[in-house]
Parts: sequence; C-alpha cells; structure tokens
Amino acid sequence: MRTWALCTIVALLLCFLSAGVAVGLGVAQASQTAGSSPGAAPETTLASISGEELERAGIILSPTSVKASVSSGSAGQTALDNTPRGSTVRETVLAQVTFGQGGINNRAMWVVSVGPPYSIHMENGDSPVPLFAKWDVAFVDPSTGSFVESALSSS
Amino acid sequence: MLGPKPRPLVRISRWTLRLTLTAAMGSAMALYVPIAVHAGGCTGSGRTPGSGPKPSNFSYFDGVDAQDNGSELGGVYSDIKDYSPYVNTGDAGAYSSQWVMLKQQAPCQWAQAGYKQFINGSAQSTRRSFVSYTASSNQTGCSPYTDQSGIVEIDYTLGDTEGSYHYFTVTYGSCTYDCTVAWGVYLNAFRFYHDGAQLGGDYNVNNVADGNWFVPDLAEIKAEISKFKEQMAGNGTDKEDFSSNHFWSGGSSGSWKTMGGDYWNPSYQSQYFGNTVNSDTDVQVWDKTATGCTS
Repeated sequence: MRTWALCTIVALLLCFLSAGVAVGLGVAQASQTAGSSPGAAPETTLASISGEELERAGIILSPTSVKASVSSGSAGQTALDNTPRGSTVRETVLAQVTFGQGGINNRAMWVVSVGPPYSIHMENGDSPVPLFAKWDVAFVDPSTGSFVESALSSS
Repeated sequence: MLGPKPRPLVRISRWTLRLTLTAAMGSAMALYVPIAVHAGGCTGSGRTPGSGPKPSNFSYFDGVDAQDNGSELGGVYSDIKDYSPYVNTGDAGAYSSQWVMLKQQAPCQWAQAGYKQFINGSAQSTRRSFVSYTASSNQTGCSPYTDQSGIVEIDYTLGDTEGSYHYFTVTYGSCTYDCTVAWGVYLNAFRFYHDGAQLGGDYNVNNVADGNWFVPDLAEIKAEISKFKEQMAGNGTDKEDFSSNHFWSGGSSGSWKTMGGDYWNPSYQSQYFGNTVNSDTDVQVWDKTATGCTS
C-alpha cells in the first residue's frame, strides 16, 4: 500500500514537473514571439531580385516556420509549368508571403524566381513596342504543390 | 482474458482514413485547375516573322476603345468568350491575350484584366487569367509606350472552359464591381474581377511610393498578340466574341454606357485581322492571315 502510494506521489510529481516545463517553454516561446514584432522580423531575401524591387511591387517576404510537404525541386517544376517557356529556375525559397495586390495575406509559399531577366513579354497597355519583365516569381503552395499565382515586373 | 478485439476502434480508424483520403482527394480536385488546351486556334504555324509592317516582336491589337469627352471613367466590363489561340512554341515569352482596360492617356498609365495564352516551360500551350497595371509612369503619351519601369503583372490559375463566356471587369475609385457603393466615400483604388469575384486585392494608386496617381479617361476591350507570328484570338468560323460591353462614366450621377454610338472607336488592322460590330454591346474579332485560319 505504501509502495503504491509512493509510486502515485512520484508519478504526480513527474506530471507536475512535465507540465511546469511545458508551461515554462510555452511562456518562453510566447515571450520570444511577442518580442519579435513584425517590424523587427528579419526579411527573407532573394539573391536574384532585390528586396527593393519586390517591395515596389508590394511583395513582402519573411521567415516561416512552416515545413513544406513538397520539395523545392517540385515547386520549381510547377513554376516552370506556369511561366513562359525559356525560363529557368534561378532560386527557390520558402517564406511567409504578403502581397496585397495579389490577394496573398501572410501565407507560407514556395517563392520561385524564374528568369532570365527581360526574356518574358509583358502586357504593354495597347502599345506596339514590346516590354519585358525584369523578374518573375511564381508562388507555389508548400503543402499541396499547386500553383497559386505568379507576379512579374518590368522594374 | 484479452477480451474482444477492439474492432470499433479499427473501424473508426479506417473510416477516418477513408474520410481523410476522400477529403484530400476532394481538396486536390478542387485545387486542380485544368489547363485549357489549344483547340480553337488556327492550324499551322502562325505568320511569317518579318512579313508585317512593324518589327516582328511588336504587338498588334484588335477591338474597340471608348471615351466620354475626357471624363473620368469608373469602370469597364465585357463578357469574353474563352478562346485558345495559337501561340508559336518557339516564341519564348510570347502571348496572345484578350482583355478589358482602363487607361489614362497622359501621362500614360493603365489597369487591365483578361485572358492570356502562352507556351509554358514544358512546351504546352497554357491559358491564364491576368491583371496588369502601371505602378509608375515616366512617359507622357501611350503610343508607343516605351517606359520599361513600373509595370506589374499577376497571372492566376484558370478554370474556364474553351467556348464559355466570362465577365472581366476593371473598376476605379468609388465604382466597385456594380458601382453601388456610396459615392461620397472616395476609394482611390483599381479593382479587377472575374465573373464578379475579385482577382487579387485592391491596387491603391495612393500607396505607390513615388506618389503616383492616375485617373482613367479611356476604356478598351481588345485582343492582342505580342508578336506578329502569333494568332489573334478567333478565326473566320469561330470568332472571338466580346459581348455585353460597357463602361461607366459620369461619376456619382453616371451610368453604365454601351461601348458604341458616339463613344467608341473600332481599332484594328484590317489587312490581317477581322472586326465585326454586331451591336453597341457586341464586337467580334478574328485572325485572317495566320496559317490555317479561315477569313
């Protein structure tokens, strides 16, 4: 009986200890999250397109904790299937994406930069002179691998 | 002593698995958007590069435009037939498109929405809906527009089937989709719609870093090819159809006007392309000279 009671007490202590550790970790994590305000969060960058160029088009990339179910290679192929022929994948990053004009609000995406620059004709506003995209990025859902949309800009 | 095998749990687990798989398949089907195949295009290989009056990589247009004595326009829409024109697989980055547009003629800026056919990275003819707008402009006139800065284009997946009709709408200011918003509240943004559903978010011209601002005074409904070699949408027996064409003029006391009468101007090059005005709200266009097209 005493042994049983002792075991029960030890088990309860272990439970409390585990709960305490879990709560402690949670508080610590919450503090860390609260401490990293959106403004202070480091931006995720692309080597092939400057942050300034993306920002000019209204695209903001930031780090994500989401784990992708589809590989970057698969995302790259999806991007090529949805962007004009002649493009190659310049780089692929997983990021939280906010793109107001594109209707994307803080969503985890594979961001696939395709190129080369100035190889893709852009809509040119009823002008006969051709205009070309300086950059083109495709957004691919990291959990389903489906193409969401692409954005391209002449500047 | 072990008791009965916990079959209910197993059944629940299997059913859960089945439900999960069914839901996953349903989600996948919902997310899958078929690519419209090239079926309505002319046979053959388009036109010979260099045979047109302009350089081979210059664009051509076929459709109508409308204005109301320089008045501010609040919107433009058309019920556009989904047609898959021929695009040469060898023309990387080229396209054939059909769209509606609001434009400011000076300084030149625009916002447009429509269909776009191009060859993708797997050499397949691919069709997407798109929006495009100028985020800045350093140029006074629109033709020719050579400013290589500040144009943004967004391409979306597309579930429309070839031959079906779908509304594309661009609105400006207080004129939201049906222009029923209270006009006292001035909303300085362009919006793009496909069958009444907004494509992306608002493009607020006030948010542009350089303080860019533009007020549309011209509405356009057109088909376009980015290179002379591609097919303008439509052929002699299966024409591209822009129907229910309207634009909004007159601000808060305005109305949707037809793209006809005193307002409009058919715009095309008749030696290469056809343009038939069926009524004030309907115009059909087609390609006459791409290989295999019937005029």
